[in-house]
Amino acid sequence: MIITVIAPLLLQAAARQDPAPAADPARARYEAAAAQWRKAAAVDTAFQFHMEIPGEDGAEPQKLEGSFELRLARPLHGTLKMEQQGMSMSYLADGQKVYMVDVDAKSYTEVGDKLTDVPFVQDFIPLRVWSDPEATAPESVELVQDAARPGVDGLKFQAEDKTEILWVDERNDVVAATWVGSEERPAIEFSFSRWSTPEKVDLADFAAKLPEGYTVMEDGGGFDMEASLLAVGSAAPDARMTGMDGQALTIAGLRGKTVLLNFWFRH
Amino acid sequence: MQAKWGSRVAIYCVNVNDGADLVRKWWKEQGFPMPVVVQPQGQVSRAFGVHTLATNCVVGPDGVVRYYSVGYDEAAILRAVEQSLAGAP
Repeated sequence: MIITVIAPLLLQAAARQDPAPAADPARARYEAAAAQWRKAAAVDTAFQFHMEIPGEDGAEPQKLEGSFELRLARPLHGTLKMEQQGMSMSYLADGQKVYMVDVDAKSYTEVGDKLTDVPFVQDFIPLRVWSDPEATAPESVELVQDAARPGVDGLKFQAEDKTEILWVDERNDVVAATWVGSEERPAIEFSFSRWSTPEKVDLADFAAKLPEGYTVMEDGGGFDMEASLLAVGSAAPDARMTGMDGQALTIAGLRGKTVLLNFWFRH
Repeated sequence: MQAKWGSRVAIYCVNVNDGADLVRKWWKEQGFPMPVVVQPQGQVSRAFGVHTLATNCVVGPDGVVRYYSVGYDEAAILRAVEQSLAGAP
């Protein structure tokens, strides 16, 4: 780790032929924040995200919003929940393993035995640094400022395929993040309502338990897409839909007719 | 399909999560004849347990779920609608 941090500085200094290398302020700012995250016993956070998927052929971009609630303690305790457009997704770590829990299908899938097996933990730099002592430092970091965020530093990370800005305050708490859009992935804005990194926690507070009565999905991969479907022979739920004229429509209101529903989306 | 069965069958294309404005625009552009509906909170998908696309569901006149298909098997869907119309279990 020390070598990976110092080597670029030495190379930079050599290139400039400076006799005494000046410290890179962006790198120093990142290391100060990372040190804080590394010594935390837990991360307890909540945030909203706003995503824009570019429209095809000049169409308006599609906007998606959702929220995350994450309470995780090292080595392997806690929960992560995501809500987006009425869809929910849940992970939990019970002290032994990490599971993906499908509340609708009443099932769970084992996904691994490290917190970095949870996708968002792996993808989000502060969480990856916190959960994995071996995590390597980002290759490129720049300091940026935003007049709309006084007292907050932007750490801009650039990798081959992505650019991310992490907004941290003077306590090294994460207040927001910006994932810059590219052809490979849409732009996402994250705004944090809670970011807490206590140095000591009672693991019992973070212990998560698999809900009773849930079945194990054996494939270890994704969901069984058909397992969650309402059984044939059961009463159709009286869900409310909205027609393109804004008119409300319910399944119960269609009683007496045979109804064919085709579920689709564009993206 | 709709013409064949008349008012005894209601066909709806339930959009899963594209947003009403986008759906309205796209549906108009494509000129699809079937009625399309949206579900701002994903409530219909969730109530039916739909987790994947190209899911079709037939509900009988009595409000009981008669058939599901994941993937698109037109002949099987038509058969399920015909069975529902004929009052088959």
